[in-house]
Amino acid sequence: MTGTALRLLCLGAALLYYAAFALSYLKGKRSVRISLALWIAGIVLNASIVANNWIVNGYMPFVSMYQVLTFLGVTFGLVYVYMRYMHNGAFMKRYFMISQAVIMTGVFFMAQNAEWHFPPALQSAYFIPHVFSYMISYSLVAVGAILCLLTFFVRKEERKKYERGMYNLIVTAFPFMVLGLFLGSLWANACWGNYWAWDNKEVWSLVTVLSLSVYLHFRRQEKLSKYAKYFVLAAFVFEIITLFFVGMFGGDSMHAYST
Amino acid sequence: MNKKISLTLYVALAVVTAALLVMTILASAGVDGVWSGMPVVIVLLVLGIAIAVSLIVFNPRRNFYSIGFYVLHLGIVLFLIGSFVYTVSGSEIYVSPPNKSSFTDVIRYQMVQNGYTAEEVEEFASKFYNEVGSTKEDGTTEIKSLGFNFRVADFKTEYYEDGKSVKYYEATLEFLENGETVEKSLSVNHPLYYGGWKIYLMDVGVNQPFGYQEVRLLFKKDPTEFLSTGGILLILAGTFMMCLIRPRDKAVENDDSHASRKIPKKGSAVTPKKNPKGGEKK
Repeated sequence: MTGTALRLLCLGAALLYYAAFALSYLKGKRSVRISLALWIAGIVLNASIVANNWIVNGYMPFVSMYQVLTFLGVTFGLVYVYMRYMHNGAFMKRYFMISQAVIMTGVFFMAQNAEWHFPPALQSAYFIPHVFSYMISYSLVAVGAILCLLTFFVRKEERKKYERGMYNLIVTAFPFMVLGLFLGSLWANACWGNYWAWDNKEVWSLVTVLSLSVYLHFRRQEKLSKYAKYFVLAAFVFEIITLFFVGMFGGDSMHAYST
Repeated sequence: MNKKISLTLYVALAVVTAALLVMTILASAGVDGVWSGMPVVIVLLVLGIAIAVSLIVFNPRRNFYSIGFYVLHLGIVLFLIGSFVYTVSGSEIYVSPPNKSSFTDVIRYQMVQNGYTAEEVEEFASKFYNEVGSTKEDGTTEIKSLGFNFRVADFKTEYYEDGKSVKYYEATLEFLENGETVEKSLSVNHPLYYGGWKIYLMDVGVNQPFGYQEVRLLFKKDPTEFLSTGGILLILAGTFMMCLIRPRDKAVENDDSHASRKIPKKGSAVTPKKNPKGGEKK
């Protein structure tokens, strides 16, 4: 596919996500159905970009920031299905939609060179599970942070529901974030001979994991539980720093993406 | 809880911790073979049994959530012990030996022109090394005996279609075994285990001014790698047990996250199971 076609697909996916999000606020069975249909169409467009990247490169498209973000858009859809059936997460649907919309808007304005050469250090069995588990956890934490913000604004009766939803999201995200972290360290031990090198991206991802673990520990303590949810917001900020800012300003990082 | 069992467990854990500490001190004092022999097996066996028994004894309810708690936090301790012992007694030495096959006739001729004899060049190119050394930041040199002889026999580089981006690196090392040379190859992400050392292929460079290849290798000796890796696996297993395979029983946890899973039918009186030994925790 040409660059223009890919960019149009990306725009289409973003617009469909925005439309699905807006319609989800309307009441009535019909608008719910249309919203769902638009959402699925958006995910299909998004997935077609991923499929194109996959075919062009011949490996799972996880290398450049552009490839990672388009894949992340699809991951939100997968993760929602899990939350819907395991944790009664149907009310979170619209927050998944808006997260995907924001991501695809960002992708639309990015340089979209899909082709990339796979250096020897990345040719490892750890690569795909490492990135994929991070994507699962990042999408869950993003929605968790949205719910966390909303707990400050919703009515008191609704607050309980949002807090429970936030906890369900974080408790699902946490093991995948830990998995991503330690798969990364096992990989580093196989590739560079060290579990941990205090690389910028490593340190920020450790801070994110620790922040979430503080949330999980605090909410079990009677006196500290009221402070717990601020650590979800903090974890989201750290996640954004890990994902975007380290690559931009991090200097010589071993995790440098080609943009 | 049975007092005798818990006392035995505490003693066992204390003895194992003390044994690990003593072994660490011995290893850091330069005693060889501390981490490979019967003592390690015995210590680990005692540790494993103590852990298995404590998982059963300290968990009357025996669900995945509380077992996961111990597995996860024990994993953290093991990982920290493994990393600590490595920083105290492990070795990590970067070397750049020349690649024998990169000495072309042109390079040999240039070296002869620069004052080396042909025999010296030949000896330099095909020399076997039995120790590795590197200069530290503070200027001191660390030299370790390997216990075997090696040289870099060949180096292979493959490129993508563009001719610039590297696709694959592979180095072939030759070892002397009973007077015969044995070839073994290693690539990035696939280190080589040999004679108690783990050898990593890091990079390749070109010597200035002569132009033969220098292959960057890392020689690593991590006697407690099994502790670090085992700790990581326990951390992962424990986290997944605690977060994803969670108890459905409401009385176990005082959080209500799973209350929504079991919605009692209208008209049926569902009472949550109570902890038989202490009622509900609050």
